[in-house]
Amino acid sequence: MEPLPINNVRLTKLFLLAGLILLLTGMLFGIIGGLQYIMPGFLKMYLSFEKVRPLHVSSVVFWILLAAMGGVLHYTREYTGQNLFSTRLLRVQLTLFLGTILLILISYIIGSFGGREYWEFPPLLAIPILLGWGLFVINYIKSIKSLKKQPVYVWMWLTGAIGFLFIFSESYLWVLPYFQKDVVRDMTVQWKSYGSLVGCWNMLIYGSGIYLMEKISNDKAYGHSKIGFALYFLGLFNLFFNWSHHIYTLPVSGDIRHIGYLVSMTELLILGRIIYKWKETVTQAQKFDHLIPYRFLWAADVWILLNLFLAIAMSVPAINIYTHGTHITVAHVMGTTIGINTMLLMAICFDILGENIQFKKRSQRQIANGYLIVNGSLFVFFMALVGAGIQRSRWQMNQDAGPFGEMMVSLAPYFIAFTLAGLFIFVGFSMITYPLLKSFMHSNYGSDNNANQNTGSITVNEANKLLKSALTEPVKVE
Amino acid sequence: MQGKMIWQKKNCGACHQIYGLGGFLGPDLTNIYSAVGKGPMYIKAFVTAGTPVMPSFHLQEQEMTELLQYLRHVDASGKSDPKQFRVNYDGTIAN
Repeated sequence: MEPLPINNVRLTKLFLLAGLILLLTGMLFGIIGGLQYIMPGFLKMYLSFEKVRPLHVSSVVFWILLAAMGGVLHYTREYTGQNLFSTRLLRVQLTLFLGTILLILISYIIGSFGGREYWEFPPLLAIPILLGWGLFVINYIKSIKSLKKQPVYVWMWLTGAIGFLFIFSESYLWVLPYFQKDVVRDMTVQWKSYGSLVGCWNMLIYGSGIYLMEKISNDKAYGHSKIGFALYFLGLFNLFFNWSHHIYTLPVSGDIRHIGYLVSMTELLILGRIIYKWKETVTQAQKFDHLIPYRFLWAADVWILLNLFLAIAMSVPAINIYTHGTHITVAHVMGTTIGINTMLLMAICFDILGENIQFKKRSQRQIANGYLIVNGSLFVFFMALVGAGIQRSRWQMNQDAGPFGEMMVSLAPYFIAFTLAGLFIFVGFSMITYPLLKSFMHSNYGSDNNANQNTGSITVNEANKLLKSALTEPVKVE
Repeated sequence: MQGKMIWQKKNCGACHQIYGLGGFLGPDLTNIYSAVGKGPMYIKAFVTAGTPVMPSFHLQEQEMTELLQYLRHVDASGKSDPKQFRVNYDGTIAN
């Protein structure tokens, strides 16, 4: 049989590695942004807020995208027990993404913008992103080969990958005069596409989360279960139609609001299921608590519950008019991107980058402390934003409201709280990722330890043996 | 459309909102054009001089005119004030 080139494994791991570096970079810019809230004019001459915000947002969005792609590709290889379709495509994809991300960050620093939320870089730079994503889709589809009797996570990866390709293109419809000349039409399409884009990357991440849970528990039932597929279709339905809560206050047709309202209420089913299964989740958490990836999966579960309450409340139009345009929206975004996406991706990083790594007792303690600091600080961060949002909402709804600047000054205690909490989140994530990155670098860039180092390749049998041991003994910790 | 491009190229949305969507550091500018005590001259003064937080953007006269035209177009498209919505018993809203 054809040997599996180690490069293939290394490349998928490099996606995660690059992602982790972007996460830490993004958090640093986030702290600078927070300081600009509490010290107006801070770094204004060199790095004013209209530069810092996109540096923060894009770094973090690309952490999510790179780690999500890396996770899917690595697990696809592991799941099929075969090498990915093309190492060359993988290399080109990684080069395209890393090169473009670098150009994007430079463009922000020199003040060259496309000026769209999330994608604030010049629109030309969207082309290599789209091309890179296209290569990801080709590599994934060709590697999976058949869709017959595949588990739910294979479908989730497929829909997330293909969906992103189309919806990312849709988010650039604004370059056409038909959309550009009408602000309401443009914003409707823009926020429709953003809602669905988040749904797409969630499909990739949640799919990997399900795969990882099966790997940890060694129970393959969920991936083929009816409830697994029912929840997948519910997620898909929401991906397409649950976006209009972004634009309830835009002068759009009432039908858009009503459909969005109705569809978002289907999330109550997911919330109900989480609450119903909570006891089981807690039991499982106690059973697997010694596994680092599982701890992150468990944290994501708690954050899903907390965020779902907020998301469902914000999807009721009568409540949305109070929360819209306030920091409550930011709390929701931070809760989902850090609390859910990043926790799941951390679980994936520890599973993939940490395989074959024995963490020393000191590193284990550091990771455990970092984990507690991140989750505790994130809760303070989340609540500070909710508090700021409530105060801003009261100002927005007050008939005799004072000037905007006065309201912002009154929010200073909340801004101080969320900036400090953000600093601690950064410290916590640094404590978590440092031992992982250090051990990973020392392990010869994550090549399989048992692999044949001389030829730079391993056989399929060796790979399967490694996979089997990974399934029965996922990430050993002392 | 030129004014919209200036809005985007200067990344105004990083700090300001249109219909409650965008940044949180500056005020929502959906109806700034027609707001009592504000309007074109007020906008022009802020964009030219900047604030302790906002840089001065050094727009040329033509660019400033186009930006103002864009903000006039946004203003004419509707009202963003959440106080103006009527809340119905079933949780829906109307304006």
